[in-house]
Amino acid sequence: MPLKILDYVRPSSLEQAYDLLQEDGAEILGGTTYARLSDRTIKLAIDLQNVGIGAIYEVGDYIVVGAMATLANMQFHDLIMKYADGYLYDVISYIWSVQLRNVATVGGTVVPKWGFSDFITGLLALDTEVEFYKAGKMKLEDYLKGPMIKKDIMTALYIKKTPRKASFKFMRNSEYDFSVVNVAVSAVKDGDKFTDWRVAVGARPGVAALSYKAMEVLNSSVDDEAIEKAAEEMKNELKFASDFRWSGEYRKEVAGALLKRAVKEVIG
Amino acid sequence: MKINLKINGVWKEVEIDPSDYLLDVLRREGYLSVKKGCDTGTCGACTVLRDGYPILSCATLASTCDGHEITTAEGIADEMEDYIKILAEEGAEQCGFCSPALLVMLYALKKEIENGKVKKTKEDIRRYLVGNLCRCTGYVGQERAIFRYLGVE
Repeated sequence: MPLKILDYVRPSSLEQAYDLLQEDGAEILGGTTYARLSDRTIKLAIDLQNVGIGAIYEVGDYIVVGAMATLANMQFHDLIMKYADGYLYDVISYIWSVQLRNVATVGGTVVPKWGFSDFITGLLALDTEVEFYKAGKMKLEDYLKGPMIKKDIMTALYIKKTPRKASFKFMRNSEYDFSVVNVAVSAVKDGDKFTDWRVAVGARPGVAALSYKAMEVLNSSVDDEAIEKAAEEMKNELKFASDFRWSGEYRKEVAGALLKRAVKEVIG
Repeated sequence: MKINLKINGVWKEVEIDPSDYLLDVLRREGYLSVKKGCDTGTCGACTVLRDGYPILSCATLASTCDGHEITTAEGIADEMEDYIKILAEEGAEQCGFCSPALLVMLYALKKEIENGKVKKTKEDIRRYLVGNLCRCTGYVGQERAIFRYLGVE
């Protein structure tokens, strides 16, 4: 049975949307691209396109991306194209198709914590926070690790403009497909040194997670031995599982190889 | 519920169910260039423009398009006549099922190239069109026609 929507509403303020969301059976519509494949009934579908959370702008040290911005809005925004040598532009440009990126929204991708997401892995390697209307701001990693936040509205992403160098690597069965595993790595360049490493691994097939052990190793050294060790630590720390496409063991080995390539790309 | 869509330059009031996808509404209204292919957001045969940008009509709820401008291949056929000619000359059309969506994407691509958002290189053009599948696998002919139309060596 396809998705069934009993009623649709387009509120004009966040406050109004939040109140409507508290009704039994009410849900927020994201980009609606993935909803297509579900078979549930939504009593009241709330469309946020008129509540004013679609803009992308700078505030202090942060790039703020509204939850209703599409992935394409974000990809082609000057702030995104300039930050970290266009790293996020590259991450987004490989997500499915132009047509999908013009529909899929930032909030609709982050809130459900999609396991197959390249976007979430890419963001997790940066200093990213997620903001909800009532729950406020939290680190992206804390949101991903915590329970789903229901009956609240994601309003924006905050990406700190730390001077990072970043690299995103993925493996797919074909270019036009979801990643079967992906790795994003970044570090702050401080003169000749690289500090504050972040290592995110996604599509394991679970939602992206940081490898704190790999980050610890890289923060002490980035010689060849340390890079090898970081890959091994990541493979031991994170869980990899099997699905109809790849086995967990194969994912784990490929993730290790991608991590090494990504670190080497960052240090140049 | 009733929604208003500006389809190919003409405002229309359309009766829909809140669960309807734009693809089904457009076909019901007679815009048969919009094809129902995979119906899962993959093949791109349902591509239309919403406010000038290509979207998957099979993955877009019609209700969310209320008040927006929709363009189908019927609405740009005259402007794209040169390309349609080249498509025929290059033997790029096989069954023709994917051609209207490709026409819509090429129209959008041309604008993105003019706006400087997509580079006029073979690689960038291929990446822009990755979401338009041809089930006859007639890509070589399509590429030949597209590169010739855009003047890419």
